[in-house]
Amino acid sequence: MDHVFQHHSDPFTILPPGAPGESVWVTGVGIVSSLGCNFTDFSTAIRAGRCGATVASAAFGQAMQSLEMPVYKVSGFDPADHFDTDIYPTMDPLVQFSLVAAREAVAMAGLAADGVDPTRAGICFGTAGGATHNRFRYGREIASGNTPGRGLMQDFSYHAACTHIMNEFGWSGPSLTISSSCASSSVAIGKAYEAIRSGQADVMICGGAEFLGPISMAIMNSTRLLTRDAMRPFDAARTGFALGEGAGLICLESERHWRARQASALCKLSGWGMAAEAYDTRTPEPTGRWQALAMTRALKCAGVDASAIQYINLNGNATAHDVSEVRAMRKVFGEMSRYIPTSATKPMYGYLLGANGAVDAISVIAGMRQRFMPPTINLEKQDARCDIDCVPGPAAREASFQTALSLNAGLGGICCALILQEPATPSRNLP
Amino acid sequence: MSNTLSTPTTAAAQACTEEAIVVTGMGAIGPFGATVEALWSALCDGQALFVAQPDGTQDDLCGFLPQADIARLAAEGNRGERRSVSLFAHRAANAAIAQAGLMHGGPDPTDVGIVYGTANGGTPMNFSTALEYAAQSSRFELPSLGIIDDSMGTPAGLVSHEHGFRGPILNVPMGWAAGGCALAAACDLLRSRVASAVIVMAADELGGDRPMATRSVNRARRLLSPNDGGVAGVRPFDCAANGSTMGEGAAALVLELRSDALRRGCTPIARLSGWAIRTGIARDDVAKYDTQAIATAMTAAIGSKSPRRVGVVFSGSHCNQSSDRAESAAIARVFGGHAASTPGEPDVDHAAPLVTNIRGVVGDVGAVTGLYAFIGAALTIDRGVLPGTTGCDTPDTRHDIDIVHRTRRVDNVDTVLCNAFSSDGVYTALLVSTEPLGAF
Repeated sequence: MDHVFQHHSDPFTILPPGAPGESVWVTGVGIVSSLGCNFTDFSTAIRAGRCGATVASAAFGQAMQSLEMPVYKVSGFDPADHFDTDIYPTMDPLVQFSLVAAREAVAMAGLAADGVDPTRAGICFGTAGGATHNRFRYGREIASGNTPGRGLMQDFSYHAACTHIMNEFGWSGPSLTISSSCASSSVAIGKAYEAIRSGQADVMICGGAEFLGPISMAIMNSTRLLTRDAMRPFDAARTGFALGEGAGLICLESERHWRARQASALCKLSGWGMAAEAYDTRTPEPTGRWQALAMTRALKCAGVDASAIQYINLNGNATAHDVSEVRAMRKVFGEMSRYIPTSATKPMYGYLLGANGAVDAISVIAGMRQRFMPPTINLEKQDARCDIDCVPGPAAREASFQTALSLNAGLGGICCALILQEPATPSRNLP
Repeated sequence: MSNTLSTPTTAAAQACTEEAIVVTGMGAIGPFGATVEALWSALCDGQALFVAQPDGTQDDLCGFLPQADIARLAAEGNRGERRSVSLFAHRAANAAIAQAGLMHGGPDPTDVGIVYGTANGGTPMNFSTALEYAAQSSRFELPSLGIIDDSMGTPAGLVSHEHGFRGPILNVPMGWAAGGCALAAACDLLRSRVASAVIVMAADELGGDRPMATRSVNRARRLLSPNDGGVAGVRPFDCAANGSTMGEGAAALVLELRSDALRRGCTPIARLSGWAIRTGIARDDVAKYDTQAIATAMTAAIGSKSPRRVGVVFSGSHCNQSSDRAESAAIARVFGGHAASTPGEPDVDHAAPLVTNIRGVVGDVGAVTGLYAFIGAALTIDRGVLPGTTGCDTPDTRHDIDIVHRTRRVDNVDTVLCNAFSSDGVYTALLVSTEPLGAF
């Protein structure tokens, strides 16, 4: 592992401010999920292998009485705890989740209002559906012959969460929303990485969010990819994924910037890689070769050899896609793919569509920081074609890792991989 | 490890580059027709392209594509089920790819990326109706998977599948700033060497009278003109400016690093020499514009170059009073006012650039107007002709800028700034310049 950090051993002398080639670090994370609405609760839950699922009919009531399928709704979140009562009733839940997660990430990073040049701080946000709930409410008002109130027009656009978060912190740097299906937030993290690495920004909030309402349920249920059973990645009897909601926001910062303000970092975002399968709208390319290309691009970007990867977090959506992911791993890691601890963590917090990549990355960071490998829960009989060490539950494996890869893929064949690394020297007492 | 793909072991493998980014292909489709030349003719003619809704369901005028054209696009390649936005984007992208010669000795398709900007994507289904249908279904399902097969990412997916492009795909739903955002994001991908060529597309559709159509929301936000002037209802920088009219269509560009284009014998059309995205204080329910953020975006796009090099600004204003005021103040702040120049006279040596706005012809086509303006800027440099500001008949004298009313010659302009912004706080600026022949 000695090679990993050697090229940035003296960060104060390598770069002038804002120069291309900055190294990119995670200095804070924030999360709202079915497993808890802060990083501490979330990491405790995934270490224990808890499942945040409830039954759709219980979550949605009469509208989905016939749907005995698991869903992962955010729990323990009361908007009144976070927003003024005259604002939140017409604020889209996706925006509520995003703002709360962003506040936690910025607080964890210790970024005071005067601790950052607002013109060099921005956001890159991923979501597949955007603010569907307000659009649904708006359309329902029109369909009923009513004139929708002005409040419903807030958060109507896809980049509403960006607008709110930039306003909240008073930042005026780059702002971008990306909607690249279920890989949206992975892509957003990658794009934010580039903004810092190229010297355009010192600080970027990135990640994504999704809200699970009846319309999202109806759309995704129509694909017949949703399971009625528990979500079981890599299992021979897997029957699909279960939808969830939540937000995962990550505060990225250049090494020069966080060191200058005498802060510390959780880990390094060493690189990212992306590839398109150009194969089919809904079916994964079966050989996994384009997912392999995304992973090799990430390794190349990070300057990390495949042999340095000690833990992998796969998309693992409990469909045919699992097999193509394992085949992709084999193309990148060869025989070692059987032995690298590799888990799919979505059975704990759900398939979060555009927020998948960010929440997966946060679970990797939790394991990296707290010395455990998140488990793959619900696994009963492993599919022989998925011959990997999939860290079976019920709880996490108590083991440490310093270099990890997180892979996500979305409908339409968009694949994105992230490489995360722990610093060689201990940082301050962050979670 | 014998079966592994090779990976380099140094982080220097993916260095950023400062090399010039050039435009090698352009495509456009809209009410003017389905070619870039048709767009250019329409901009230079200065005739508004607004017509009544084809099915007569709404009384306002918009920049609709002829319905026969949409049917023809759908028939090509058996895409009858596709939404208009996908058909438009696909057509414009293919024109740009053909002009760039990307499929004949071009870059490795696995390194070609796509960035797609849109204000709202395909006009969504009526959620209420869809939910009623699902509730009546025994499995809580929709009648078709059209919304999945024609999702936000479909236009980029269509182009990726057709040509085997396997580089990064970014779909950028950034409102009316999405065209500018897409161009800026594409430049970042090239500069970071994440892609060796990028197809930048923008597309939006009007969506008829569906309640989820952007038109109803933009009307509620008071961004649209009440249509009191008929076809001349869009009046940028005019005393009577009171909003824009929506249109539909698409545009596409192929961007490459200059050395890559030259290596394969492709002469660049123009150079994209600066870009920036900045954010201002905003609200999502009412239009609000931030002069400082517009000025900051323009200054960042100009970078270390002298503002005196900028001969023309293609305005991003949405043609309402507050938008016109904010942008004109920002232009005056960056370049100085026009008081020292003689309005209406060619005076390209003067520090204050000439300003034009194309929305009086095409309206606000969501994300697309930014790309239409960019194409107009490239052709202004190429042809020495600047389209006028259609609809600005009685200029508002409070705007301290040099507005060009009628199409005119501008022989010495080699650098043009294009603004594109949303009504909720996102501002982009792009600097287009000529490629000196010596570079070839």
